[in-house]
Amino acid sequence: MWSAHDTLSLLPTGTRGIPAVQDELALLARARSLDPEALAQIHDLHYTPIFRYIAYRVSDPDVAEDLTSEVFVRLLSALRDRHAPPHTLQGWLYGVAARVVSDYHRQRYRAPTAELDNHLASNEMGPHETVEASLTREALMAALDELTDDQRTVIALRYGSDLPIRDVAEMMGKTEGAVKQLQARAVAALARRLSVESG
Amino acid sequence: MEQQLEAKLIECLVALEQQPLDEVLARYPDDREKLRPLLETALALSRLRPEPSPDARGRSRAEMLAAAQAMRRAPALHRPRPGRLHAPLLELLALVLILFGVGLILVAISGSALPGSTLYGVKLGVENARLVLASDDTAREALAARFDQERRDEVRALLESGREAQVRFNGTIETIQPAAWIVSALPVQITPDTLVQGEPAIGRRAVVEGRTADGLLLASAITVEGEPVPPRPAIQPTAQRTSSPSPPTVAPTQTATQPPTSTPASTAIPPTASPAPTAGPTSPPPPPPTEGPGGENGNDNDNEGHAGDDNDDHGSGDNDNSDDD
Repeated sequence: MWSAHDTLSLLPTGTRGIPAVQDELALLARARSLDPEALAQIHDLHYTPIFRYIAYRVSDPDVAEDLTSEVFVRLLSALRDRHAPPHTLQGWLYGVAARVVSDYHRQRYRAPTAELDNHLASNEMGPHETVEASLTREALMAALDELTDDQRTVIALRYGSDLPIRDVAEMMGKTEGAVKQLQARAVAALARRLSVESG
Repeated sequence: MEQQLEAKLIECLVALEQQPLDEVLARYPDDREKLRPLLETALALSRLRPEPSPDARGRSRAEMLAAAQAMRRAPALHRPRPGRLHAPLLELLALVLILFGVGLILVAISGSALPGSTLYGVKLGVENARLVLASDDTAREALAARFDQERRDEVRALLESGREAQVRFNGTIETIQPAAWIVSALPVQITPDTLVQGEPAIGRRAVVEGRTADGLLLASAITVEGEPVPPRPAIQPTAQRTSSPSPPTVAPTQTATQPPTSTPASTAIPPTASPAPTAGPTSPPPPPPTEGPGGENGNDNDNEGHAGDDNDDHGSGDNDNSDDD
């Protein structure tokens, strides 16, 4: 599962609206003194990707909104207590988000779901079936519940937050090859699930 | 087959980030229909991903900034100073250091404390602790001998300074006169009130309790340790209790040239104990005084004469079996 709790890895930045390292260091320095402008900037930069990641992890958008707010409150506490990341925020925020999600799941304990077969099941799908045509967000979120934790984390980071393979691998403590395989199997499991439901 | 398809899917999923679906599917025409629903699912994951509502985003931002403002208003209550320990921890650390330092100073000063002084209790406490913490019996005996000598040195210092103090020490009886004994080179004044327990004899160990005043040590109680010896009329202390004390300038008439008895005390006599020695018919008579090992003078006997140690000396261990029986 997620293994990047509190890791302060220097992830490549400068893509998808994330500031370059030097800019982020300056932003962090201001945030440590609780500068409102810097805090607002950090919030706006990271809110949406963190929300999408959490939403793919918990399925319920309302819950995802609350948990995303919680991530930024924890960031504030960390800045106050000098536990905030010294270099970059992105990895730190996703680590906190993963913990927040884990806490949420622990609190609303749910019985472990049976994992889908990790192998591809393309034979079960008709060659002409299309997933996209009838797929709704609700069905997709419901299908996500059937994935393993690692699969769901990869989906959340890759498709929710648009993070590149390299970043996801670093956050999860896995090789890029392992992440690609997890992603492919997760996509296949979802496709099979959605096909069965629509069929 | 499945592994091959998985490898193709992995490649297509990466390509799908840069190319349209049809172009990606064109890479593998034979597997086109198998890959299509999988890649469409991947596209759906991006297309259908949840988006935060503007309200939620605004609320989260406002909450964060409000919390930051509250923190700025009360920094002293919550914010520890960078690079410093929390105040309670600092206070505790300071207290421990102070106590440790004070303790060290007290122990150092108390080393020269004399009976009657405030720190004398600390000195005795440290000595007791060292005895308890001694690594083995040999070390413990050596320490006890040192502390016995320390007691006598304290008495000597008190006599020289003329100070008053209650004292207690043990030593070897070197001289016995009606009005004064010499115990390990220390003059001990015998008064009518002096309570003598045991059978005094030259060379025997004795625990002396008394009080120093004006350069004299007035004994209140003397406990002589060891096996009873045949009474010696000339040195019956009880017969002399009516005599008045005399200054300790009397030259000893009986000196320590008389060696100690060859049988060390067989029982430790506590200060208040007054065993009535009864020589049974089977008890062997005490051997005549002979020069024992280390018996050149009273001080040299110090290591042998501690309460509790004498038992070990009995028979030099040869009689241990018979004692046990």
